[in-house]
Amino acid sequence: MNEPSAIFTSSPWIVAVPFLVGALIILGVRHSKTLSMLLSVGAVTYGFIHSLLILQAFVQSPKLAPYQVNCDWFLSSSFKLSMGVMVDHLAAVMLIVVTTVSLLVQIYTHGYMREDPGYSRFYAYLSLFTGSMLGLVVSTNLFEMYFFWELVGVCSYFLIGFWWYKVSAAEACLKAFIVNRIGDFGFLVGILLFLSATYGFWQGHTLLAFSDPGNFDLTGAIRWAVQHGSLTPEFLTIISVVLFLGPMAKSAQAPLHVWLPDAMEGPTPISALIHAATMVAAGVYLVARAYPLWLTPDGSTHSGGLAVVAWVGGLTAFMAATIALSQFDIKRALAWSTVSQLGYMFVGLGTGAYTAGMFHLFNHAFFKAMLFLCSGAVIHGLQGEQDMRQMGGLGKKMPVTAACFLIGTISISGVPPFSGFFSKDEIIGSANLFSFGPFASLLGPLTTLTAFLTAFYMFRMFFLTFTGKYRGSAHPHESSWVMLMPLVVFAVPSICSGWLGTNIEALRQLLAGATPTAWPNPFMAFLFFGPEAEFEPLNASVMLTSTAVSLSGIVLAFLVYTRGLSINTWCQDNLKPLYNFSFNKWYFDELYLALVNKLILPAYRFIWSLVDQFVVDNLVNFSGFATIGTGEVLRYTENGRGQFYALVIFGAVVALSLYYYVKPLVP
Amino acid sequence: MSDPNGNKQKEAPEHADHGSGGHGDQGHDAAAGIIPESSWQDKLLILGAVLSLAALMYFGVNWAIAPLEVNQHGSM
Repeated sequence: MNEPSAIFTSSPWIVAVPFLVGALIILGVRHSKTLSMLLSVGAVTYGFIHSLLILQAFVQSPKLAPYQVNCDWFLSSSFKLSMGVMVDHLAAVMLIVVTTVSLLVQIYTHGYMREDPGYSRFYAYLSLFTGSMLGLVVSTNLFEMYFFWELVGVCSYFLIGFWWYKVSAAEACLKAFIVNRIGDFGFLVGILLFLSATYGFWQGHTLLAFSDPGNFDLTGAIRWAVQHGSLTPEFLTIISVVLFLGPMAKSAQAPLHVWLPDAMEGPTPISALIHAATMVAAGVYLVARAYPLWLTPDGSTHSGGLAVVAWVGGLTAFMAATIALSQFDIKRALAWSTVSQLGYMFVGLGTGAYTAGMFHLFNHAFFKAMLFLCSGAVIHGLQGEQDMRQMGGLGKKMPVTAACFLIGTISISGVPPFSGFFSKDEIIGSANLFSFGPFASLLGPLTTLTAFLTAFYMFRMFFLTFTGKYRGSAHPHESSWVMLMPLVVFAVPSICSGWLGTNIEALRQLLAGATPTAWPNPFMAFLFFGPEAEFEPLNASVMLTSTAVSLSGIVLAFLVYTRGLSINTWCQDNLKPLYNFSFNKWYFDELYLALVNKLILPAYRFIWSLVDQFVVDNLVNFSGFATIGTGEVLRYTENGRGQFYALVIFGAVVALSLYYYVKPLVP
Repeated sequence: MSDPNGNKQKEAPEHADHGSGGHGDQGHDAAAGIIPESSWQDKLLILGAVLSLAALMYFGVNWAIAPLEVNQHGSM
């Protein structure tokens, strides 16, 4: 057996270095802004290079086994909890995503936050977040992942509330924290339920391990538990649905999505790093990493758990797209777009298109991070203006930003040959083949309709911001190159990362008139679930339909926002309830506020008055009064005089004598 | 482009997110369309971004053109 190379044995440092740097900045280096920045950027640069080398090792040697190292975290006589690092193909892809986005965002941050008094603190948080996220990616078991899951949540809380003196920012970070607590509670309960069903399996091996050469992993645990009768298919479905609450909250899926648009109160680099490309993708990553939990016990994708994933994703994608249609805040509109695209990823995973879901995560990370950074450049260039009604015509003033935004917009709209097309097309194709449960045939049309809406609202944003006449009162200017260069770098994968989902030879065959029987591609050969990759033939009808739908959305947006076709005003005038429904975000916030005010708080007050005030208070008061009353009575007998005590003894003896005189001992 | 209800956009923040540059050397005083001068830190970071692009392209192209051998382990 070959020894793992130094690239793998040193992989724990990818996680450790950002943590060390974050701690170092907080503990002292923060007084030097330049040193804080250099340390933080240096740490993530190291992670970026190391991640590329890991990817290269797997690409060059497809037979290379995953690398895993563990150390004991918690030990008892009956179980073992480990903490460690696992680097496999899935982790390698996520490492590239996290380190690339983090590196470019940290470079951009220098330009964006250069005059902010919290500049060093910001870099410290960025480093801590990056370390936490990388720890989550390379976790070896569910407990370890939960640990890092909470750490990224805490970092997100700190960063949303970075400008804590703004009431809106303080409220937004609290909202994010509370909503994520609900999801994380489900995640933890799901973990414990699964542990309860499989407890006898682990026998001293690492609890809830993702992967183990001896099959002491999630797949092995499910098989064992079913054989021993402690896990039924229905119970596994319940576990997967409860566990899915965690990804729902973290990846902002309905109805736990409400925190993400408000999280835009944080600085824009954070929106790009955490709330577009990495942390919000952690939910998708968890489902992919622990995929056996969502399958049936015999490994089929026709499961209730996956159907829930698919439908939650599909409905969220549609809902968020309809909301994005009417928003005017540039960052919040992008946030709704993120919610929608995360929904697409869940549709991919939920319909069994494992590779497509992860491929969309990979592509989306680049173009969405770029779109957010572009929005930051616009906001920066307009001295803080975020309302698209006060923009327009910025393409002439900010040509680099406009070009990058356009590339991202085309990519997310799913137009070939930009990256978003390849992954979204595969997901829509898979949704069209979805056949589990009632209404399954509606999922495909729903995702196709969402693709149309996506193209429309994204180009609406582009036209409102960058074309026409400038409608604001600021003095627009392009950003410095330290902010623009990350956009340019992101633009390259936004155009061509999707090409990893194609095969040049198959394309050549297609152009020559032959129809390839299957469609093998580098990304799928690299990353798939199960014992072997299942390449599928080209689905030309889905490809053409999704492209036509996207182009229709673009053309409609062009006509409405540059040629004065007044469909939007007609909708606002004649479909007012629908427009208001979209503008007010389907009234989720109002619904939750009403639930809290009308149901949860009154119920809490009732329980408080019944249990706390009536039962507990009265019990405490009674015990107090009883003590006082008893004391009042007994204090006359405790007077310290010997004659009185002798009299009592004498009286007792007389009383007992009389009693037994009347009632003898022996009848 | 106005809200037909006459409502103020509810989610518009009280204080816009503009980083700090809006108040700093690249803010109101910068002439429109002109990208400000860069410090040595800026130049270093720009160089880093360019190198990261080169690295991404090198490894990405390597991945794309590598012989299409299927990963033997899948996931899990």
